[in-house]
Amino acid sequence: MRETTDSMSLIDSLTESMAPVTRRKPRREMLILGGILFLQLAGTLALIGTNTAAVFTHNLSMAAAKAVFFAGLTLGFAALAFRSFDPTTPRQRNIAYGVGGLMVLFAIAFLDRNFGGGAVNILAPSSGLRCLVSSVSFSLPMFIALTFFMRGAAPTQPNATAAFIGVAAGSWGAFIYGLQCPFMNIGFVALWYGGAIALTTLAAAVILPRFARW
Amino acid sequence: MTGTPHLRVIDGKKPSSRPVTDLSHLGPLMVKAQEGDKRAYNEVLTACDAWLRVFLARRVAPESVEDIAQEALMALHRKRHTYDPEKPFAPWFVAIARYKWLDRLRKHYRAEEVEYEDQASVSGHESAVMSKIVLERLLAHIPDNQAQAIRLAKIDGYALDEIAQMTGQSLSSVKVRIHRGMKRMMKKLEEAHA
Repeated sequence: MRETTDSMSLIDSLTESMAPVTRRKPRREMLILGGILFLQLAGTLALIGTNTAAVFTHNLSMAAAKAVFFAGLTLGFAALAFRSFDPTTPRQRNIAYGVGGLMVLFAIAFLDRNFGGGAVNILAPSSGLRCLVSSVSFSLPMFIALTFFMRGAAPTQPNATAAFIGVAAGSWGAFIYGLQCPFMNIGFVALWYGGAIALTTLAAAVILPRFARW
Repeated sequence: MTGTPHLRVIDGKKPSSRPVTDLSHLGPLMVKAQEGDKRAYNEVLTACDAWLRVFLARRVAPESVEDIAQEALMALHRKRHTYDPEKPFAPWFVAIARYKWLDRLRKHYRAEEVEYEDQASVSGHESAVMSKIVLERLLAHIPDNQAQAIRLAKIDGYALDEIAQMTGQSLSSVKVRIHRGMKRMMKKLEEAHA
């Protein structure tokens, strides 16, 4: 159409083809996402509730710190993702670094920093791989929901939006898996949970900008 | 449409008395457009088209104005459901227009880089989608050697091998300087319009 018409005829044809639209409702989207995540959390706890109770009974402070760390990352980056859906939102890179940095400092302060006993014991490769794969799998509902909402929005910084979605979804997957995971060492968390978040972020950075539907 | 016969005087101003750059009156019209009012929508698009021509005239080469203006109008059309009536219209539309403009620049320079890889010449005498004024302004923000290579290629229209001879650099070094310079300029542009 663009090759054959000038602006006025484009305006006319856009006007002609125009139909009423349902306005985007960010609050409703947040509620839907909250509902999906609540159902996933409830379902997971129903299945692994005994393991979760054991982990929290054994080491309450660190288990709680790990949960708060991933929940904080999830909430922080999901909020950044939702903000970035609005085209008028300015760049949020510094806020993202701030949120990420703060949560990492929190994890360093409250998780197990003891590196004695050898790398294999700390990093536990077989458990770690299971953690990595499971965390990525658990991140999918949030990843898909946020992708869907992004398509209906108007993000003018698609790369940043994709990164926020990736970190938020990866952190959520880590949060869910972490509820029954007994490993509290900062090295384990950084490698396997961090790896899962890095993977979802990489996938989001590669895939999502193509889905922005401009 | 019934009951709204004078859309153009919705806040008491006639269109002729309103500067083209003033988009402040379009919010209520856009709300009507979202509800299916074609006349209001036509007025929104016409006003945005006029604004785009002023906005783009200072930023892109004249031959690209039409294309980018049309892309921005199409984007407005596709994303019209994302306009929030509680917020002013102008920042919403300006953000979309800037995005389409920068997106076009990004795509153009990406394509140009591929071209650099294939041949030792520059396709156009000047950048097809960036006006000389903007180009000159951005050149002040990058290192001199990169600015010189870009100026020779984009403004003076020399081929890359000619620039290599003139500056005493290898062909690949000229390509790297132009690439890095353009990358810095795009970053600067994006930061300025974030």
